[in-house]
Amino acid sequence: MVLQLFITGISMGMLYALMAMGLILIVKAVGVLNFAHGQLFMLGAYITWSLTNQLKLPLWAMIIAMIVCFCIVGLSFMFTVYWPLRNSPWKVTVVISTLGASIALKEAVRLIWSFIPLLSKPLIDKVIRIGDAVMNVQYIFIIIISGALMLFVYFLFEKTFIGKIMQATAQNRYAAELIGIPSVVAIAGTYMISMCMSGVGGWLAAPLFLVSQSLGTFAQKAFAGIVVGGFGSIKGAVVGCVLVGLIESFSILITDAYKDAVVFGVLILVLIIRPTGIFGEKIEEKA
Amino acid sequence: MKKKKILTPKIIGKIIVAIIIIAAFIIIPLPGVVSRYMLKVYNDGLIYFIAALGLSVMLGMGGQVTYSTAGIMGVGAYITAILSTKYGWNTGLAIIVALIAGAIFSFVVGLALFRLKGSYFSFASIGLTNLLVTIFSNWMEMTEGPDGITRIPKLDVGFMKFTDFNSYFRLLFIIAIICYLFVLRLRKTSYGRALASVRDNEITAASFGVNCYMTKVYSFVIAGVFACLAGGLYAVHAGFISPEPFKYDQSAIYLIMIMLGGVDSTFGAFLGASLLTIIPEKMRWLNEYYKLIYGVGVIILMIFMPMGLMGIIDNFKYKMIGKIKKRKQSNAIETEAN
Repeated sequence: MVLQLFITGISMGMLYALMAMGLILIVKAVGVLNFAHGQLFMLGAYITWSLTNQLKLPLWAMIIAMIVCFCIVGLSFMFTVYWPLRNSPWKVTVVISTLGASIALKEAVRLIWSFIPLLSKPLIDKVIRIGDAVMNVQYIFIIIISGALMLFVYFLFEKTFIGKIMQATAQNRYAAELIGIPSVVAIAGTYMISMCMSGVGGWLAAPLFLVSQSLGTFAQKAFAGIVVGGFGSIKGAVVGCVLVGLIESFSILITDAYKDAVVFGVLILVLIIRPTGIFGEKIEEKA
Repeated sequence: MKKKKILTPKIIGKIIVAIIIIAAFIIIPLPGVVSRYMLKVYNDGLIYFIAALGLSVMLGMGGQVTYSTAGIMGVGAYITAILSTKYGWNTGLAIIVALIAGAIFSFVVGLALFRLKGSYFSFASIGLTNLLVTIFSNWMEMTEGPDGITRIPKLDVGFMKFTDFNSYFRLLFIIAIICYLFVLRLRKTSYGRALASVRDNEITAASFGVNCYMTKVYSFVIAGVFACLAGGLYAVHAGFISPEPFKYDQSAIYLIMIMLGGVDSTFGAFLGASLLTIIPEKMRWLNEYYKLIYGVGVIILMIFMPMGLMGIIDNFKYKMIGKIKKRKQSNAIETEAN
């Protein structure tokens, strides 16, 4: 029982972490929150469902088509929701425009795919036993694939030249433009990577939770994970999200109905005890 | 010496506005002017306006993006509903208790949430709303879960009973005007200015001796009391509450109301609230495409008029005033030359 809860908790946490990492990358690059991230996650699930079940692509072709689709979605998202507002003096306008985007995406999905939840087949439809734990193989897949993806993105940002370009833009866009970095490309790249991460998350979550519009609410747990983990650090966000997943799955031992209440209660408790989060560093403000 | 004019354009404008308000107050609830259904829509609009006013103190004056409006409105609504149905309290008294409880609740929560800043505060306020909605939909003994509380008695303040939508319209209208004047006055107080300085630059505000943390907490309390008032009125007006209208999505709608009307304007909150409640009724013919157009509309709104409707009106006004002044100046120069 404990092992089973542990594995489901970790895999849920990994899904949240995929979203949280994308969110943090966007926050770092352009300084605003993306409140449509849950809807991008949901869109990922719908797109992959269509690619596998309607176009009937084999797995390898599906993955390539999926990434191409996600890049297009990320790019068009950035150019409609963020780019026209980049010089706005008030960041709140961008936040509100992402809220508008979340409504529009939810409705667009409902109009295209209707509101009936769709069934998505897992990669391997099997149940495994470890000791007394019985679970779907999909949980293990989620841990492996999302872990690998997050490591890949982490190395992309920390170790490669492209990552340095994106980091430079994130730290100081003006200075980056002065030394010849096209900030459009860097920001567009960040949005594409971010969309790919949450889209893949949606693809992985689909077999376990059905493809429906309620997938969009996953983002709120990712928000909770980011706050628990600490201010704006990618490492903190991932650890925080895994923690949120674990709290969520182990809270079943105490209560069933109040699962969400436990998660958000812990969130508020963390804020009271340690407002900077687990990995948060105290950053003094400067004038 | 010039004689001081009594009827300056400003005063004439104020008189016209007052006449419009009184006319609306008298004419709209008369039987046969608007249908019963539309009157209910107007009433809802007024309730949303009260909640949005509280948010406009936080967002417009304080610059804090919060998603807790709907959740705290739910606290007010549920306290009113539980006290009046389960314990048989008088509804007027129940609303007052809900207000006090809401003030204490938002003070305590505000103390915790404002240890975070900016975006992280917004995240945490989403958490708060979700926490509250989970409690609303699971605490079966008190809140009846997702089915909601039915048969909430109508408002009764001793000497007066409010039973139909017409009387509610009058009541809500008066309460809305009082709240509106309160917020308008708040802008002129030292507290309002302190809040605005926190919005513009916290470090500068702190160096002028403003306690940023407590200023923000008080703004959260003001917003909380407004939301609780709106919630209590919502409960007695509709006679039925469920967790649905207090969810995160609804909080986002309040934010959009403020941004649509104009973030830095109290009247803008009224424009936004009334437009967002009445437009959906008038746009029924779009049926299933309505929400899609609405979402896209919000993005377009932010791109082309980030300061909302009042921003456009103000811009227009400044331009016109500028033109008139220029004309006067050029006239003066001409007369001098002659």
